[in-house]
Amino acid sequence: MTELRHREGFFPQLVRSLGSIELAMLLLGVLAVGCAIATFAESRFDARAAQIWIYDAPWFHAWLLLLCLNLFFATVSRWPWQKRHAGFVITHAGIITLLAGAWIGRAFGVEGFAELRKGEMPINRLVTGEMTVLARSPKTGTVYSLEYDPTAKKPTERRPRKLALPETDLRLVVDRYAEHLDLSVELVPAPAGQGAPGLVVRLKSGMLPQPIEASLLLGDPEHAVFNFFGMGAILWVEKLVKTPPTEAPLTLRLASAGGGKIAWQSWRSGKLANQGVASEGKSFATGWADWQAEILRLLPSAQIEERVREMPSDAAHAGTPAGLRARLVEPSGKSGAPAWVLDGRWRDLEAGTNVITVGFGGRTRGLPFWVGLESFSVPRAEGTDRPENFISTLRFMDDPHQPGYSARIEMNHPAEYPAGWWRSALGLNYKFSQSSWDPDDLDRTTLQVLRDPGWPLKWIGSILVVAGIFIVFAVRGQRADLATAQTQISKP
Amino acid sequence: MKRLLLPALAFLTGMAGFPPNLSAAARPDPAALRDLPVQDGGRRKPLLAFAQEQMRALNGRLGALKDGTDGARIPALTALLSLWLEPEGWNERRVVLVDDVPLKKALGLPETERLFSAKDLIGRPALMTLAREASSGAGAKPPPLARAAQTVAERVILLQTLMIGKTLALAPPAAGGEGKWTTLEASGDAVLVETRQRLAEAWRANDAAAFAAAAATLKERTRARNPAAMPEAWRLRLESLYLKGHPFRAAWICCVLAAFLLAMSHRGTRGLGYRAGWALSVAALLFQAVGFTIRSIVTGRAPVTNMYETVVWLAFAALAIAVFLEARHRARGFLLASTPLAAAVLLLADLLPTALDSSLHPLVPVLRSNFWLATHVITITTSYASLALALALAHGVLWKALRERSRTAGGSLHGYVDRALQIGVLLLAAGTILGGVWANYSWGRFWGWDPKETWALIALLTYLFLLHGRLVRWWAGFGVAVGAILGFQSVIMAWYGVNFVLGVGLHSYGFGSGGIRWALLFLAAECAFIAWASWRSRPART
Repeated sequence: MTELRHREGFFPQLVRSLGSIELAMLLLGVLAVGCAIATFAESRFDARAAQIWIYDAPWFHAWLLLLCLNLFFATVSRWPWQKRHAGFVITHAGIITLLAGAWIGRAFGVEGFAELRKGEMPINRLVTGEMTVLARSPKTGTVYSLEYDPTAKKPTERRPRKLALPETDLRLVVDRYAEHLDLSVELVPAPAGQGAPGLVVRLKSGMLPQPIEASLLLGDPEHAVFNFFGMGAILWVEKLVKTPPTEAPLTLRLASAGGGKIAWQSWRSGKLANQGVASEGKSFATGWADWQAEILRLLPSAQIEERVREMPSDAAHAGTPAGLRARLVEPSGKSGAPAWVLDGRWRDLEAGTNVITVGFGGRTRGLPFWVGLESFSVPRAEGTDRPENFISTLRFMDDPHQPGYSARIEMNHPAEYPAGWWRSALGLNYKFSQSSWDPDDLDRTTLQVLRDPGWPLKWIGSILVVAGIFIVFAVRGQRADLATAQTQISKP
Repeated sequence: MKRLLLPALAFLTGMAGFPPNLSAAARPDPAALRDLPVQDGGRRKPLLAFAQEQMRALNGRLGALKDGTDGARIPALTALLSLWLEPEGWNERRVVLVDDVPLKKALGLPETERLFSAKDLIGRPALMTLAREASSGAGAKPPPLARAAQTVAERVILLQTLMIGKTLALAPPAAGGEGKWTTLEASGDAVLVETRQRLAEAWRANDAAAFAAAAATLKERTRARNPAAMPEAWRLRLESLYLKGHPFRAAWICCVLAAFLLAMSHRGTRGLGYRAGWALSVAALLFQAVGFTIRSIVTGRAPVTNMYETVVWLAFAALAIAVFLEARHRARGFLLASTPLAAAVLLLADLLPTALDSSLHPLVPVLRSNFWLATHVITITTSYASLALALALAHGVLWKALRERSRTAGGSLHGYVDRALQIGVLLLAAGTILGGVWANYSWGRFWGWDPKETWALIALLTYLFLLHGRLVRWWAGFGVAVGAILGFQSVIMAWYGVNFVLGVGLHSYGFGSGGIRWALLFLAAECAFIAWASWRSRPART
């Protein structure tokens, strides 16, 4: 019987065109070049750039779909298949199955990260790799995801992103995204009748490359104490007492002495090192080696203002938070003041009498169970600080009040929940693998979580691809079997 | 860096003096201390291994320390003991490697020299400034010049730490204790401290008997201190034997001889030259097998965990595939192509000890899986080997085309290129997929477009493009040979380029630097060869 590709008619012609090897060559070539460009983009910029331009771009997915069609029609075009087509058919079916598995996993799977801390409440939410803008409804308090990732499509002042805010007739306009922001607090005079006494103090030492400056606000739980790395602390209190402070080994306690003067005590390891009265602009010795303190500003009524500055994207600013600049717009078109919303934080934005709380951070996703961290350990290579393994013991619970099920994770040995080999084989459970850790906090671990219903197809596709290539080469090899070579060898 | 360099500089002033005489007759034979266990880099190893690794890091040579002052080559263990037991004068000796030409220019050092004294280097403030620049960038890749300066600064510090014996952790924790070993001085054991003194005196006085007695006391005392902490003596001896024996060096010598004999034996498979070439090829395989076996026994893992090991595995696998195909098809050509390839690769591994570090290091957590090392890594590296064999055979095709001025010249070699490509593509597909399955267990996902994964896929696509192109008759034997050469550049990118050029992704444990100029030169040479062969073999105009 004649193969389909050799027959006449519209359908055979269509099959011939879509399954042509020339099209396959074009698809393979563009895929290879596209992927190569993506790796250089990742090296030059970051992984996100490679995802946006190539791997997650619609054209790339369309290209892979076209590859599937090409493989499918190339396989169909040999119909009716014969024994010699076995390798060819199996390989092509394998690639289609593998790609189908990838799409199913992407469309119906769950992927994210769970940051767990020993002794804390179990969680039932994951943070996904995508970012989103959130808004809290002023009427019901419901938090809505506005389905906008500014890292993927960066807004500009010329092309801002306008987002409708649910349950209101307001709009949120995002006109800037910055990868690195510097957040500082500043003490400013408060309007009459508001605020509390404020103080700016500076500490200097020959051992420090630059002085430490602290802005303190009396009675403010967040800003009445300035702690520097657990080594030292500055306290701004109502009045000085004789009780040793517990905040840090080195503590400077300050209180108003009236008449624009400041009474101070310096403590070292629970013992009073020095004390006195200082005025604005005067330095005094703390009694801790060469450390000097100076009262820079004293405000009878002050408030703390947070200042956000955009920083260049360079190595010096790695680790500073990202953020977006947004403003509220009323239906009349009247716009509120723009403000920066930092990654992982909430901020109130105002327009007229309207106040909306806006947030920005990783998109979260719910889990149908709870998971908590029982223990985390990092065995080290002997005599070094180099990790040999990461071992976490997790507790999975369908209900946070039940004892649940305990499972252990090591590198290369993930934990799965709900357990059961058939669920694992079909990709119907959640797999927890070690992702990252914090050397300074060994009670905390971050796990990669994946539920991949495409997993069985990926397995089957992989086996088919390898088996198919083997059959293709084995059959071809047997046919040719280096006949010419043998002829030549036998002749000395 | 500054914190470490300043004490180093201060120390330098106290270590000035006359350099010791290290000729063979002037100091006792250090062999008595060769198998003494020392804890370093996350494992316990013989002192000889420690000495060789430290001298390579300092001086860039394998097994010995070259003194640029007088050109003398001092065995690694002798150099280590001299640094430890009589440190005076070492800062004036030209033993610190500076191989980066732009850095030499920046520091005002003569470009023709490679070895400099620590005193000379510390006296150049630009070195400190540049090294500080490399360590100040938070998380970002520092500029190449700063990285080179940092490497040199670390070598200067290494010299100082060796002179004070700071890293020589010879004393196990007291009985019942586990973990970190200490120096003899810090052990708190008066006998060990006194033994160190006796060793130094015997060394300086060239008193062989006293040195042997002190070495015996040191061995006994450290073992008696905590017998449970001591590694098995046979394991230490085996590693020392491996370091002294250089099985991979023996292998490349066999390969060179085999290649010569095979090339000289002309045609046929019955001549003495051909048979001797065969025997030497098998001997090379056996030497490599011994090397891999010892490395596996010492480390307890499959021997394919870093750039050096994958490079030597490529030579081994290419030769093994060639031996198999040559025997299976009784075909001349596979061995003739693979022996120079294996010799070149092994020679490269032997001559570039700083770029291809042969030290046995503990693995990062993700690599601690013998199952996946033995399946994914060996499969993918063997695929590279087969594709490298195709590359070598393709050179044969082009050479014949060039000489006979015909693109159809090459005869059976075309079939051999095909065979090597087929094996390579099959293993590359299997290895890439196995990598995905491993990633599913280690990192929690099958495929994440990590640059290493992506370049393995690109290499596979490149070869599939080559093989499909022949089906539509876009090219035939000569074109496939050209494709086998060009396609191998994608393997080089997947193997070397991702780690040394791109330097991003989850395979960060394999990252390195350097060699880009050589890789580009190789690419340029290959392109030039293809152009030359194509031009010479172009069809005549009718």
